[in-house]
Amino acid sequence: MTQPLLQVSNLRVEFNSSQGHVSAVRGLSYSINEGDSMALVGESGSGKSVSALALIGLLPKKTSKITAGSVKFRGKELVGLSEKELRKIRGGSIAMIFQDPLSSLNPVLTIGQQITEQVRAHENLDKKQALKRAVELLDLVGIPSAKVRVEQYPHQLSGGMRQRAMIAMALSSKPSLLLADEPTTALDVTIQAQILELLANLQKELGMSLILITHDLGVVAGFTENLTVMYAGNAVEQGRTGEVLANPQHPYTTGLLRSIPRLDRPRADELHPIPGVAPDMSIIPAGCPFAPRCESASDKCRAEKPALETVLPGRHVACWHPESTSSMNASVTR
Amino acid sequence: MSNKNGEKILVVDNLSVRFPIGAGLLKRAKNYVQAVNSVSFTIDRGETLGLVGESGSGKTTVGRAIVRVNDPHEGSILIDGSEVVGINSGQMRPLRRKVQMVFQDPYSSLDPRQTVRQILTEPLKTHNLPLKTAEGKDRVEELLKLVGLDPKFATRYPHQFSGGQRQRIGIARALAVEPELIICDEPISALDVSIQAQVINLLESLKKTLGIAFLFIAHDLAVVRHISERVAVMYLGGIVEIASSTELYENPKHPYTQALLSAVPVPDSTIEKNRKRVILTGDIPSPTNMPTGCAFHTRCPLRAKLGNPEICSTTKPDLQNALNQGSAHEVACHFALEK
Repeated sequence: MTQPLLQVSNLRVEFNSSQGHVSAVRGLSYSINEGDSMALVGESGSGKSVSALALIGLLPKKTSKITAGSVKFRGKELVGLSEKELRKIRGGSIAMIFQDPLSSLNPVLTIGQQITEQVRAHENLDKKQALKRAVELLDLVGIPSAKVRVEQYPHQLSGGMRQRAMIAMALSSKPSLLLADEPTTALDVTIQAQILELLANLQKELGMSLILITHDLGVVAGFTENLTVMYAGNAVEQGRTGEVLANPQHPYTTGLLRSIPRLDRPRADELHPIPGVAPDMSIIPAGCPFAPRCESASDKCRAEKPALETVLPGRHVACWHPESTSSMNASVTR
Repeated sequence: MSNKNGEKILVVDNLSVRFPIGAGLLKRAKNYVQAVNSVSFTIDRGETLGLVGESGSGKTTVGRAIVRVNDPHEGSILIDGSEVVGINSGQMRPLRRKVQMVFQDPYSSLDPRQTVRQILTEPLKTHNLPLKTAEGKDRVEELLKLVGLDPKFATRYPHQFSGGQRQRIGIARALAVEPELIICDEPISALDVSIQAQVINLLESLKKTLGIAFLFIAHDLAVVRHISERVAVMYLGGIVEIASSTELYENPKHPYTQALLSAVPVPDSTIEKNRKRVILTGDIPSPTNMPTGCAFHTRCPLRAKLGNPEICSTTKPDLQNALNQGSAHEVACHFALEK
């Protein structure tokens, strides 16, 4: 077997605040191969964004730290690297785009200045060559009249255009891995469709790997091969995207899918919300973090935390009572 | 005067709202943002009308114009048969009891320095309503129970609640004056997925038990289908299509509605990977510089397919009945009903 492009093992991230310790990522593991795409899905506070920021050393150093685990990129350990070494990788072989393009772009620099800065940080080009490269990149991400746009400031671009400009900037170093943190959440649905299509095409053309961080199960369905569902800082279910969505094994995944109205199905009479609220991340409960909201929770769930286990081929679930076994039990008792 | 209007709790006719821009030294408007353009619709008692559209479509402005947060420039709004446009705030007060609003952001729409009791008592005092029910029960506690919160929470402050709980408080505040129509402006889009369903179910059960009508403004098309009997689609300040929820989602006529529906991703990989999307090119034009003719013609895939007929860029299409037997289905497009 070839070595994965990125291998995250047992990653733990903690924040220190005046209110005490918050353990945001609690032993997350996943891997992604060259050219593959994976979605990290979870709700606010599940640790999906924090875990991605941790990979490339973008967490605030004063208040947070990686307390355990390893992140191997092409076999090289990233945890513990110096800022200088990390800077070479960040914006180099690993690039990241964010949810809100307006606040991630510098309002007083033109789009061209921002891209050329990025280009020249990683490549030895003069200003003119770098600007030419910037225009090419804007063309690549489908910005019309790129030569004009390169002279413009972020406020002169629409939301969709700004996200395209961000993508152009991220692509400037020809990254092998793109981390996209809710790249379409701030955009309208017709613009979201444009951006997702662009990302999918670029990923194929450039042979890049993609980690798509999102809360939208619809977005992951068409655009990622693999899926990791996160809850309270843990991966609770991992597998092929299509298979997980069609046949979820963790009660949290099932709950999420049952709680959303769906346009691909007849209108449901009633939605089935997940009861309760997300856990307080400053308290580490014994047992499964989802147990207080889980219909099939048993005494064991409240006492002992389940680890990721293979329950079906290619499917890993952290649950004492995954859906396949409980439905089997149910059919036996019936 | 009231109750003479029979079935309709709300009648909006030819409503336009515009905002001045470029007010300089003399506060003279140089130009206008045409936020809402000749919009007409009605809501029956106890009915839910969904209003969908993307940012800048004017859906929020329509909601705000109804409660006169934004002043209409033209048109008429009848709440329970009484005209709202042009009256002063004193005359507006009794009508505000009939229409309440629930806002998107449960963090900024509650006063952080008021307890839940103060938040819920304020509308009662404003409208001189009793603080006890006919049976002598505390209204605040009854309201909290109605929205699924513990009556003990009355002494707490907003920051002690989660987003979903705050939205319940916002809903309880709207319910306090026993309104006949609630305007919900993106009431769940700030909430997490697993919490959204809780609030949707609450709104549905309130609708069933109290018979309240809703104007449900949202951009999430799946949620709107779930909660609405009828749906109106807005684009750049105008309604382009309005029909029963079933009809609109199963048989969309307007090319914009079709594109919008095809852009919504669904959580099924097989469907997603085999799906043909209508991907619109470009962005919504600026409402300060409205396209002539049909507002959608600059991005319209149907117009492109027909070889760019001239009428689209010269004449604004009116809503016309799509003549589907039974329910009314209206579309504003020169060509949607051909073929």
